[in-house]
Amino acid sequence: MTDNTQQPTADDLLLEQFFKPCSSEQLADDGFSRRVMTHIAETDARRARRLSWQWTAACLCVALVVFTLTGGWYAIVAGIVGVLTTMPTTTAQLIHLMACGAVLTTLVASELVRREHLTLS
Amino acid sequence: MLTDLALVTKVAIFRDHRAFEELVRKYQSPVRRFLLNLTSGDEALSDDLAQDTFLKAWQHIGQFSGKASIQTWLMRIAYNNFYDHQRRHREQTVSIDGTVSAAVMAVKAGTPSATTAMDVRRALSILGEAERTCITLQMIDGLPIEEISQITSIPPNTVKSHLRRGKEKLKNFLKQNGYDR
Repeated sequence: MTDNTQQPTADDLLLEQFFKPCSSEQLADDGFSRRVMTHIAETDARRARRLSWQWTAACLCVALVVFTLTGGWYAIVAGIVGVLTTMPTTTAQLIHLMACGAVLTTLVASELVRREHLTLS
Repeated sequence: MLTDLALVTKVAIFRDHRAFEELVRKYQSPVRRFLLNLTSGDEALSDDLAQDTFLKAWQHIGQFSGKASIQTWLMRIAYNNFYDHQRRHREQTVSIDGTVSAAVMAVKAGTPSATTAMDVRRALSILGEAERTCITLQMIDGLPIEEISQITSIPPNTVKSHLRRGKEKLKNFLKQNGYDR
C-alpha cells in the first residue's frame, strides 16, 4: 500500500506485513445493525410525537385566532349571561345543575389522567 | 442485490428502513474497525461512535451527493464524530512520551489475533492523532490519498506528509521492538 510508483523498500514491506492481519479483519455484526435500526425507529417515533404536538398546538392557535375574529368569545359571554338571568331558583333545580357540573368535571379529569398515564407509559 | 446508490436513493426518498439496514450491515465492519483504531481499542466507545455515525447518516442521507463513495461519506461522518468526542472530553489517551494508558487498551487477551491487534494499537499509539488517522486509513483500510483527504478534510499534500512521518516513526518502532527479525 505505497503511495508512489517506486518499488516498495524492505521497510515498506515490513509495514505492510505488520498491518496485513488488521487490514483483512472483519468485525462480526453481533447485533450491531439491529441496535442501530432500533435506535433509528425510536428516534423516528419521538420525532413523530413531537411533530404531532407541534401540529396540534399550531392548529389550536389558528382556531383561537379564528374564534376570536368571528366573535366567539362574545357568543360565549352572551350565553353565560343568558343562563344566569334565567337561573333556576328552586333547590331541586340547583342540585340538578350541580350534579351535571360534577359529572362533567369528573369526565374531564378522568380523561386527563388517562392521557397522562399513556404519556408516562 | 441493489447497488449502494439505489439503496441510498430508496432511503433518501422513501425512508426505507430495510434499504438502510442493508447499508448498515455492509459498512458496519469498516466503520467500526476505523473507530476502533482511532480509539486505541476502546470497543464500547467505538461502537457508540459507530452507532451515532449511522444515526447521523440516516438523518442526513439527503446530503449525500454521490461524488464520493458511500463508504467515504460514512468514514467522514465517523471521523467528525470521533473528533467532536475528543474535543468534548479532551481525554488524554496518549501521554507526552507516546505510551498508552492501560485504561484504553481494552483488547480481549489470550488469542493470536488479540495479540496482533494489541501490537498494532501499541504501534499506532506512538503517532500523533493526524498521523494515526492517515496511517489507519491507508495501511488498514487501504484507501488512496484522495479519499483520505476527503474523509479528514486535510489537503492531499499534508496527508502525504503525515503518512511519510508516520511511516518513519513506525519503521523505527518496529525495528526497535524486533519486528524485522
